[in-house]
Amino acid sequence: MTMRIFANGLFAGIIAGILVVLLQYLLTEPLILEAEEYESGAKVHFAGLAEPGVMHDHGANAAADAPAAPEEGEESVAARFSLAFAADFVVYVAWGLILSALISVAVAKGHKISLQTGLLWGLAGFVAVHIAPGVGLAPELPGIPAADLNARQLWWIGTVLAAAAAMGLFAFAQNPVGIAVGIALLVIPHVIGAPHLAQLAGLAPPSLAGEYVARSYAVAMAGWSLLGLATGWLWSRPADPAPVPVPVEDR
Amino acid sequence: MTTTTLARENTRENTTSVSLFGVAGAILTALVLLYFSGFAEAAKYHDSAHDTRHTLAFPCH
Repeated sequence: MTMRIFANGLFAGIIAGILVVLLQYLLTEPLILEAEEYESGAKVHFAGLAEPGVMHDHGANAAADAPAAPEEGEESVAARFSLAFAADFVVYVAWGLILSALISVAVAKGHKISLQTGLLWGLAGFVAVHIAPGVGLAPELPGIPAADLNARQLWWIGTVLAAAAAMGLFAFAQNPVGIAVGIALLVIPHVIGAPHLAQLAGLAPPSLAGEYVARSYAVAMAGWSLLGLATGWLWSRPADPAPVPVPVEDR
Repeated sequence: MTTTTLARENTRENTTSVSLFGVAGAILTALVLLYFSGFAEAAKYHDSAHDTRHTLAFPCH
């Protein structure tokens, strides 16, 4: 069982990771690179009104950030993409391991896993990891100033955990109290409120940021759907397809 | 006890018990992977995973 949790999570994560890499390359990378042209000042939205470079303060990391400035060659872009794509696999293998671990508990409790239920698990993951925190902290282009990083990370983690618990209650609690607690878990983080700056700002045009949010959700929904399908498929296969017959002598 | 009944019992045992070690191990492994890919602030990890963090909507910067 332990090996199966790891093997299924790893395999499903790699399958979903391939799709996410492809979609990131086609959909979000072009917008990230374009946003960095506004961030670096190569392009200026409302030319003359914005001051390039002031919105994206990384403190000590400033020099090391934005690894592919426009003057850098194709080689560094290739290196940047390969690192980003490797990170996609790391993230999706991690989600695959968590999904696989949780599904193993459901299987042990007698719940049937199929492609269809796997897809539901994946969509629940998409809601918990993207929709729930995204309502408070929308996916952001580089160059958009935001509140304190640690505060946002803490809020994000709490919101994802609460939403994941809510998904579990919706799926498995067979009573109104469980459903009510689930709804409360979804709502409470937004009553507390995500950390935000008092004023909105940003160097990239709002239309670019809007396009980016839509594409980021598309990538995430595709990735989580495939992750759920793959995990469901792997867990629906027989646990031990070819048991080695052990000769046992009758005594 | 015959060969077939033994195999069947093993299979049933595999599918009805929660592997706490497996569940905890997989989740811990996943949290370590997520920490370095999505949260670690050191420039080395931030820069490598920068575009992924933006694409997958982890809080970044």
